[in-house]
Amino acid sequence: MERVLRDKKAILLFMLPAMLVYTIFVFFPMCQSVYFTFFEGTPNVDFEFVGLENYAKLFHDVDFKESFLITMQYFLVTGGGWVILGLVVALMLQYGMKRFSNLSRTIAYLPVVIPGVAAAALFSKVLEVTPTYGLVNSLLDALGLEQFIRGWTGDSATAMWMVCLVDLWKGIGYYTVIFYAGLVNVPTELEEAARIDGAGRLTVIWKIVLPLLKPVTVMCVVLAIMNSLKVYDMPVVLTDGGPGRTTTVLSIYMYKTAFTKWQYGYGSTIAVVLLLLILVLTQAVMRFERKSEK
Amino acid sequence: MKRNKRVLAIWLAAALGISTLTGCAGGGNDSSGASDGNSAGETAETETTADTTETTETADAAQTESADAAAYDDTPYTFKVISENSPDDPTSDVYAIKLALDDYKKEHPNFDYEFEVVKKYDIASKIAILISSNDVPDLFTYEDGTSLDALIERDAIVNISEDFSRIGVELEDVVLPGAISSKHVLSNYEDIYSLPMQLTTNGVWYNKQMFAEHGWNVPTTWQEFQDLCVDIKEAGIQPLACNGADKWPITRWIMLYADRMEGENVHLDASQNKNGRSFRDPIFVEAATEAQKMFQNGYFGEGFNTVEASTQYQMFLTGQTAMMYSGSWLLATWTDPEVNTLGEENIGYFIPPGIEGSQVDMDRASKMDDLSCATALCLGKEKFETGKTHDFLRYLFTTLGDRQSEVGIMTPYVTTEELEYSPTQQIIVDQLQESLYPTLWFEAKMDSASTDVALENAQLLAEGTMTPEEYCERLASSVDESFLAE
Amino acid sequence: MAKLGRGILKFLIVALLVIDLYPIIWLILSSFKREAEFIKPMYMLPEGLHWQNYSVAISQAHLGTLFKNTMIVTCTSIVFVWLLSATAAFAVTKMKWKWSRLALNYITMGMFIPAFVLLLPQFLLLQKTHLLNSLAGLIVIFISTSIPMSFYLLTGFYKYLPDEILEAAVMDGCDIYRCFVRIAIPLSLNGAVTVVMLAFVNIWNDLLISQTFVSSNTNKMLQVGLASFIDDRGNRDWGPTFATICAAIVPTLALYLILNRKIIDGLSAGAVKG
Repeated sequence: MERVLRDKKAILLFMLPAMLVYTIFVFFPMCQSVYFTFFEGTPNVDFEFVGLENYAKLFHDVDFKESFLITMQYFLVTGGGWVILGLVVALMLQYGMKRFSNLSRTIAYLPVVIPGVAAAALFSKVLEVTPTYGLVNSLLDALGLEQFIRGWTGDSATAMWMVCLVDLWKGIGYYTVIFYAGLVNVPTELEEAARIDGAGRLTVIWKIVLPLLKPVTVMCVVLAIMNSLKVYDMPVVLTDGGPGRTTTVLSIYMYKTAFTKWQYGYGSTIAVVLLLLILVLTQAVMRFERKSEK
Repeated sequence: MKRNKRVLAIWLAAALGISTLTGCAGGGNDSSGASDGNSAGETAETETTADTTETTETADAAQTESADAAAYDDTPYTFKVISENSPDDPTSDVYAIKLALDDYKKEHPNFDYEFEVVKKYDIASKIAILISSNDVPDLFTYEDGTSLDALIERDAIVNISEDFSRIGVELEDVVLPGAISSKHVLSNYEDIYSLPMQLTTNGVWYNKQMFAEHGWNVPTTWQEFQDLCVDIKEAGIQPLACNGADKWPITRWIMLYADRMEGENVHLDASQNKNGRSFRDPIFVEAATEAQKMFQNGYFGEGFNTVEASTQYQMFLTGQTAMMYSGSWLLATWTDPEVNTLGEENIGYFIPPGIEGSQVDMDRASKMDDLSCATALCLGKEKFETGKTHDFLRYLFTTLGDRQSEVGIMTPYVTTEELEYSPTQQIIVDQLQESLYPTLWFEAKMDSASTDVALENAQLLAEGTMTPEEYCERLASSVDESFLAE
Repeated sequence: MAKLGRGILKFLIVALLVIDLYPIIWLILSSFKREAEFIKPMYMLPEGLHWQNYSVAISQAHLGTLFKNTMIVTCTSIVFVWLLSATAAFAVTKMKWKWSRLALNYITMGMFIPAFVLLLPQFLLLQKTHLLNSLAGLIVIFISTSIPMSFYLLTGFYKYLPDEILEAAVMDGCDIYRCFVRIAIPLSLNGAVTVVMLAFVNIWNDLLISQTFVSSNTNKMLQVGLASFIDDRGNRDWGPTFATICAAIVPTLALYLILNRKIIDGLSAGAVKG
């Protein structure tokens, strides 16, 4: 047995293809991006070594600060929303809808498979005000709530919320399904025992179900941190970072800096900072979980 | 009656060139490119008639000579083009180029082409990546003005003044003199690095039928224009359509007002802190206030920040708005009855009128116009140097004038056939004749960071969340970062 | 009281499902509307089935070419993604070697790297290897960027594969390759389905990568074509635009509905246990 599992040739054969492809096309490019952060200009044309200047520049770049805060807002609203609402919906499906649970989960997951481009096109029509009222505005109009009619994605007061909401709509299903699976694995005997002791449903959920769900929750939080901090598609196709800079998240700022302002090195620096942020946050969450397990 | 319209077009373009330059020289543009162009423009003026005939002859001669001018290389070649508009759309500005490619391909079986359409705001990033990988396309469209400088600094595009003739024909033989001169004005260098796409004028298109029904008149003063907007709005119609999603249509209104107050170069000077001008000047705060007021008064309807160009046209053409501000690149659209449901005879055009009591008299204001075409046609240097495309490029540029005219574009290239203008084309021809004090668009001379500041904040200004003072201050300090030293 | 609470809960669930489902139904209904109907309030049902929208979409948006390219790229990629990540995940979780933990962390780290960080270096790399502008280039990139997530999910499955089964197989004289093919693969079928589906959705729906690495029209991918079609005519031809969007989501939707049970179980198992 041991001999079979220690078969060096087999390990090599199993590992090598994946390692090779991953190292060449993901790991090396990432290192190259980090390397680029010490330069300014355009690679192959006028690349100049500038040391840590790009990193120093971050501290007094007002646009970076603004984009950072927007990304944080996105992270809290959408990322937080995914986890909290995902959990709530999963609980609702588990305890409120026994009969159609399969169908409900299917529907809840449906928005996840819609392409971002299609979702954005769809919602720009749903939220439209000009030339014709979209779904939301025509409903408001029909309900006599004219004062709320507005260009939802073109108004700086609402644009960011709309991007968050549309991505929430698209993403919740993913987290719901993961939480739901966690709930199915919670032993029913525990719940029943608690109920016999006279605990209400909410108490049972709070005291017994949620603690048991902790590993799943950590998993969801990690996924949500990752997906919300690196968001790119939705704000690009829905608002293109506007109006003004109100929906310019870090990834858009990075892309524009590198590719339209000809500051490739600085753009890479922003990307690396974002990568570090993701790594630090996710590692912190995982550490926290491991510690509390002990 | 058939007039030789080609002569007119050439004369027009020549006149246009001169005035552009005098305009800028008056504003104190001290770049050597402008003065070069200036003398060229003057020559064109004095020799207008002679020039015309000569030009045609040389163009013809060039065509017959072409066979031996540069030997045709018969090895397989794929010519790459990147443009922001689709080549399959007959109303697009690159349609004529596609026709040339098709015709050339028929006669040269080893020649093929690829046309890539990239969204307007993605072209810069696309080209940036292609420069890094030494793969700049043979031909591409790009935003003209200061944004071209990045490509020039990286030696990515052909120096037209110096190297165009290598394709076997002189620049002056295929491009109208006025168009060359205006390229010089746009360029921040001595030489020019791009070719023109079309001759344009920008102004207000209006629905003649609707105006007649309500008894509205074309305004002759800025105040009348504002009053007209109020009247239209009171009649329950949206006065103007504005594609605010593209951002530049908002900053135009700041420029229009400022120029009509203090002259057509005031925004160009402020863009580079020239002649003691800055966006902090009270005139710009006033202009921004005026523009903001128009948006806040609802002249541009609801949700203008979400309106795209195609929506804007559609709203105007379906009678949802009485007017819209846009360029003459729409001409090809107007002559297409499938698109233009209003009918050509129902479309009128005027330049936003002057302001009473300002430094600029009403007559001059009516001749002030943003004439330049913001789309430049660039040739990728590395591909050009291989020499494999020279034969095609000569074919393209010697026939582009005729092809563009055929599809309804006001062409900056020399034509060999007589032209018949449609009613809307005639309006533009007349307007081009009138536009003696041309200028460039609001952001034309700004550095790329300031362009972003101007455009991004414009949406906030228009919706009322940014004050005119703050808008001007931010723009001015961004310009300071690039031009403080000068 | 409890009954009322139940009622409210049921109502909330139904409302939620309506919110999830309605935009998609609305999208499909709108794809059958005539141009004139778009001026009417958006919530109205179509007056008839205007199939012409679809024929316009197919001819104008070149849906045929787009579908063919996207199918080739997606299907080839997912086969390799599954194969490479399954073997690697098996080696890391079930086999015994010194660096297995390190290899696990090394590959899973890839999940955290945003795609745009890699854009330019990958572009330069593809250019050097003459894979730029080709479907092969896209396939390589998609495989390499999809591996970390698939690998991670599959390790979750293999970890809970009882060692006893493997031991029994080895007793019966199976070598390690047979163990993998005869035991690991069949017992992680849900995982395979999940990985395939997630990779399919990601690749089929991708815009950034396919837009950057392919520029020729003949090799264009569906989402890029869709984006430029929307850009081009989105604001004047809503009927054909909606038809194009519908056509673009049909394959993912169909695949999802066919595999949905397995995916949901697989996704949960991989994530929960992992």
